[in-house]
Amino acid sequence: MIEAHHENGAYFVMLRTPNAENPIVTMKFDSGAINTVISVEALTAKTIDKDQLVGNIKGKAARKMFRSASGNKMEGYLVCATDVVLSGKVFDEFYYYLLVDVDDSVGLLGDDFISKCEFSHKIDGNIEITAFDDVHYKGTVGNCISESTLDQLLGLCEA
Amino acid sequence: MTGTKEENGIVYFDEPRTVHFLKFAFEHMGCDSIALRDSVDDPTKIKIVAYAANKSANPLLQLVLKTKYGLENYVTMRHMSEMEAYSID
Repeated sequence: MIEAHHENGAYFVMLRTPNAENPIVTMKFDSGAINTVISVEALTAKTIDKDQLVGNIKGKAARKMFRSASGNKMEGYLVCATDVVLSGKVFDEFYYYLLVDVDDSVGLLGDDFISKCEFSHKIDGNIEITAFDDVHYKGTVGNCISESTLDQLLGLCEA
Repeated sequence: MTGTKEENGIVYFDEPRTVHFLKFAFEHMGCDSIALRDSVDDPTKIKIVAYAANKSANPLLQLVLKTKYGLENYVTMRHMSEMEAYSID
């Protein structure tokens, strides 16, 4: 069971991703986001040469262009993290698009994840994810790089 | 706050303090913190040792992590900013 914390009209969960330099990320539920995304800034405090990072990832992971409501275009690369813990529940595979050109710590749980969840709304305002469709979740992904590879690349691309 | 001291925009706890991660994150939006890598049994909680009192102290906190605590047993957490948390983007 995953419990999502309710704060000022939005829901948040804590993600522990053991292979990242910054292994704990705040994830916001965002059903308006097609995919789950995490920014480079959320995963490392290092100053990263982003052109070099993109050069190293390109061709190895599925690429997707995202557009924010304000019209900004953002490039994302698919990453597979293993043994991720989301508010206590362990996921042997967890997928997200790495956002390179975002200058802030961002973690959004998108529709690719949310649509596989069954929810129960609690009186205190929080929600519980009571069931998760693991089979269909894993069936929807493409080429990706592992998070341990990403962590190595972030080390190589430190500016 | 008792059991804390502040130097150059960094708040240090005298002893590691167990906190609810998300509640702490919302109380210190945009400010990085340092926690013990292996934390407590409750998956929603972490043990914090220091945090940046304001966003401008984040770079110094990274230096404190490397020089005072070390990367083996401690990690930094980059908390979402208020703008990102409440954005409708």
